[in-house]
Amino acid sequence: MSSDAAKPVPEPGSDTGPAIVIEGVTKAFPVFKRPADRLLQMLSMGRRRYFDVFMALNGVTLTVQRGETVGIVGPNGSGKSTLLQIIAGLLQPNGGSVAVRGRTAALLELGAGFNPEFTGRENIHLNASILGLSQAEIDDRFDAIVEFSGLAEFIDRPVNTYSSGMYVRLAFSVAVAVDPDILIVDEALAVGDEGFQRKCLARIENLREAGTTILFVSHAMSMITQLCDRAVLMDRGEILLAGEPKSIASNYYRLTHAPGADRERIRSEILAATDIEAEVHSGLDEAFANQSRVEYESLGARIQDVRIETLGGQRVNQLVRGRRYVLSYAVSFEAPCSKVRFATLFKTKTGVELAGRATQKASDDLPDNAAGDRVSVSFEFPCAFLPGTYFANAGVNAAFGTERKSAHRILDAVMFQVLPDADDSVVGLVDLDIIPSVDHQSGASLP
Amino acid sequence: MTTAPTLLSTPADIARSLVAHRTILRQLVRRDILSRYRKSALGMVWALLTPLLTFAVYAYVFSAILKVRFPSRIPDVEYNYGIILFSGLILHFFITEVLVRSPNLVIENANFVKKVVFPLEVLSVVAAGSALVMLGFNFVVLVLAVLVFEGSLPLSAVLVPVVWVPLVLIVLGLSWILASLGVFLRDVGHLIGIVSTILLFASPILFPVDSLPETLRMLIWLNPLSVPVEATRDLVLWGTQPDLQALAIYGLCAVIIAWLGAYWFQRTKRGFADVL
Repeated sequence: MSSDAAKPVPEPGSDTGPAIVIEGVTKAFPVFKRPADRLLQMLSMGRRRYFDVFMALNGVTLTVQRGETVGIVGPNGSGKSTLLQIIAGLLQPNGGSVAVRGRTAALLELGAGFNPEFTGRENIHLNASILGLSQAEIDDRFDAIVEFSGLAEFIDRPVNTYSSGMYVRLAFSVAVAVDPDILIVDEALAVGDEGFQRKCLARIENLREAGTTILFVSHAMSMITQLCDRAVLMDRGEILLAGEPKSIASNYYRLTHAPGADRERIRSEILAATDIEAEVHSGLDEAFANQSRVEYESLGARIQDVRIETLGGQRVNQLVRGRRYVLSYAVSFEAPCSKVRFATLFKTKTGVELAGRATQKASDDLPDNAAGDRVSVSFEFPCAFLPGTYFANAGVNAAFGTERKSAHRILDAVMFQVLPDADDSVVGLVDLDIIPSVDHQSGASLP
Repeated sequence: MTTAPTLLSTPADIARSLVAHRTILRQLVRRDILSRYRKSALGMVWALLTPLLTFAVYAYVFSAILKVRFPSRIPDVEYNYGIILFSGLILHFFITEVLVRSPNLVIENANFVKKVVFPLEVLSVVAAGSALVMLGFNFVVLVLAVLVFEGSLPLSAVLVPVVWVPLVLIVLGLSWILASLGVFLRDVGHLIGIVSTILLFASPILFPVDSLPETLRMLIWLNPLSVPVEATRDLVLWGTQPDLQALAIYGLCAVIIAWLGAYWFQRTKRGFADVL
């Protein structure tokens, strides 16, 4: 093992091939009763066996294209982390081949290189150098790291005075500052408060859009469907199924919710299924024009620039089911408006109102706006809509005397398409994250 | 994926790794030294205060109370035994510190083995480097003591770092072997304490080699401390030329030990993750 193996210098012209190619990789963990047996084993040159064998990986083959985001799911002990450790170069496979092209940053445990006695500042330096940054690069990025972590006022205190959430924020901030070609993340994102998690997701979206290859393990299926182009379901050291994240997630639920007796049958069913290796990307289709937009008369406010973006800030009108997006618009006030609130409403092509949201309740203490004020409004939403075309309204609502009226409103302000995918297990208009499970009882066993 | 390290490729591999990871190396040595004095009120002052007090105790007990004499290399000159003793002890402190820490280096940093891509061979270099900085502070105290008690310092004292190079290589080689062995055989740590005592008594640190019978004298020279202790005294205390032949043989042995140590470490480190 050497760090050179995990961080090879890209060969000239290699930036077109796949980022990771794994072929028939097996990893058997020798289980030694005493650590000394490991040494005896090494010295015996294979003349004797001092261990029992546990097969952690059994012929795993996986290719990850440059810029692709792949999620690995599976029950505990299925070999996910072992696979990541092999790709990161921490473990040597017993058989098969592994080729990794590009600078790799592995986040197998957040803050693995932290020293609790030392301050946040010192730990940033240390951890960044372990992750492969030079002194000059660390100095360059130091302020950005602190800024991202939001821990500026604690940065000169020892990290053992940090809360566990703060600890994780610092570690993640260092890790994403590395700007790797390949980012490997193991279960690291399910921590931190909600605001910070959103920041992390946005940062990962940014990395994706910048072309970083991302490989990550998570038990949070919402994270997998949100972030991944493709997912892989592992069980007992084998890849059972690879394909579209939504369908991998439902197969994962099938497998993990299966009652003991049926598990084997369901496992072999999944193994026999071949999933379409569909890759669905959010996108922007300029030709996809909105012709039903209706703008109301303005009563002192004007809505502008209604748009849908990814969490990373990329403007889109083709959405992928299961991902999160942001609908936002700007409002400029041309006359004073009192008790203002903003709202949006999602509708089908036929005008069925699916879901809407105002910024506040009508009974809340609503703010007033003066002429000349500019406000930007955004609504982060999960794309739970099934494939098809949808519209969203945008509105500003204010009090005019005793009556509430629209200060400005645009019907069908944006039109977007939810892209078709391979998962036909969900039907209707919206996906409510229904989790099916089937308790199978064979007819023969009934009296 | 990676080829197994061979005996021949090892020195180049290690050198390349240390150059590539110099930032980590510097960070870790700094952190190691700072952490010794972290949270103490006097901080880095202790780095000089500790050797100063140590020297004061030895000088007072052996020179003023016990009035021990240690024959000087310069005829008819009586030399302060406290200084002679201290000049040897600082090298013993150095080797002991590294050897005691070595068996736990990898075990204590299990995260570096399993969770991050880390050049493990750096750990021994950090331990040796940090102890070397401490040796530097001790040396400053030694020089001060010589100036205060003897009034002058031989010019040859500036050559001391040269005769220490082989000792550092030996310490590194031993550290790599112990760091690796410590992972597989936790018993190693317990042995080091007694080995360190043997290293002290089977050396010219406490008494002149000439005072021993001929047969034992040969054994003394097998101690990795003997040659550098004598050479350091030659350069700093007596102002005479060290035994160049002994230094040459010692240097050759040092290179071999460091080489074998590095090879052993690189060869066995693949197995660390399996048992940690």
